[in-house]
Amino acid sequence: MRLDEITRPDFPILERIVNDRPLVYLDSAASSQKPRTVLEAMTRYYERSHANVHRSIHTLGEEATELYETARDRVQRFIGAGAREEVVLTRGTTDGLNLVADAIAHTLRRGDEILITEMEHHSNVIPWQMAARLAGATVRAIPITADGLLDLTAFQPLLGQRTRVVAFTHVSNVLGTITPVAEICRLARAAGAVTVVDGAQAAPHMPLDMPSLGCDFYVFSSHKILGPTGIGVLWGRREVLERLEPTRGGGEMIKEVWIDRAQWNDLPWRFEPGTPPIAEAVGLTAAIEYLEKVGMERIQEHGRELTARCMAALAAVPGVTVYGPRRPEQRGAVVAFSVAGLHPHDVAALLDAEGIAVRAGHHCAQPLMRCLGVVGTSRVSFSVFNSPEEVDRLATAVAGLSSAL
Amino acid sequence: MLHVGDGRITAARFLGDSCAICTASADVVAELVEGRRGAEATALGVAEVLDVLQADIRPTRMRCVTLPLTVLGAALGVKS
Repeated sequence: MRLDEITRPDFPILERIVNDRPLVYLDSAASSQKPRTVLEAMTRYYERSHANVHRSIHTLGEEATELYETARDRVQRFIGAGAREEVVLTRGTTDGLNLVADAIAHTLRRGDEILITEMEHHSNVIPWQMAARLAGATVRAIPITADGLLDLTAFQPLLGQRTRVVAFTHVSNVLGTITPVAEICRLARAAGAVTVVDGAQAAPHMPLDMPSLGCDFYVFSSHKILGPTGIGVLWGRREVLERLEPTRGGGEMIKEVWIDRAQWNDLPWRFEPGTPPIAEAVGLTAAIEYLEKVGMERIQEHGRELTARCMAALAAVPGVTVYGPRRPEQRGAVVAFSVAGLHPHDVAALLDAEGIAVRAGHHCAQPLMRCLGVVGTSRVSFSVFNSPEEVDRLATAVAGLSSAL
Repeated sequence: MLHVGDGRITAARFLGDSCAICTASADVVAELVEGRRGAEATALGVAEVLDVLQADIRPTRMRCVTLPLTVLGAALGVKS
């Protein structure tokens, strides 16, 4: 049985009829849909166990704490992290990147350099611009090649004694490019720079193993891996995380507080002030358990098959340009394209009229749009429940738009 | 681009790389402001443009309708 045939019944939202057609949801890179087990786990938590975590000395408080901390253990296993202390639960990828950038900002000096890439999502651009502005540091970017890969020959000369941070995406949210994380991290470490990887588009689609990636920080969101919104993961290598001063204060992140000073809590709670997203953590656990049951290798294979089919089908439509690396094994499960003579917003609106949900616009990657020389693109992205037939429906619809011009 | 003579807009033209709604809105705005005085043109509101467009515009696309009005305002601001 194909993966989509197994998983489709698990996603209640796929029963939706949109504009008189069965929904074809091709926007999982923006936010994935949720399997029933995630929805049920969160409802069950609110109906049976909700209380605040960590200091509630009563049954519900203990249950909530255990459920919340279980999410950390599940994440640790899911990403192959060495210790649960290295797993900080955040509000999402953007929050995690801001957390790291804020903390590192306090260690930067005038003249330091932060290296990003031309294909970063704004959430891995703006926090570094802010950090640089605070410290008088500079943000520079590793260029991309014509076929949408990172230009590693240009990377090495950019990497110097002043490079303090190399922050880059694991999988581009537009081009789908899978970057050589381990190689970049090895070079960056040799130059004495800290590495921060935006894993938002990788975590939903491939097995993750922190030790083999070799980065210092890895960040992703729950809502893109079939879990709820409002929670995400920041993994940090313990010795690097230990050196960072927390930049957000509040309850739970301290051990002892006086009027004029405080002693920070241990990792990872030092970076989790205030009441955390508890129900969301329960949902995240259920999402990870779902993904593990299906198997990340199988999910990756399914994504590749759909991507290859989609690239071939769209490239065959006259007037359609497909962006990013040509070889499906070099990319994640996203395909950005444009239709000559049609603005991407119109493409998305016309496809929506046929019940097909795609993303359109600059995809929070304006520097990359400038590199591509476009105002925006349309983008389809896949999840475990998408079928080859849905790809064909998309291709037929796009061909219809193209021929109508 | 606005041509102004004797305090009135004698011609309004636009160049844009935009979606169908934004292009249509810009077209309507250009048509509606011709012959108006600066203050009358500034007073042009989204309701008037929607009246002419006669289309079902969703909330997420309202910015596509209003962008030409913002550009018009900026152009008039520069001129005044």
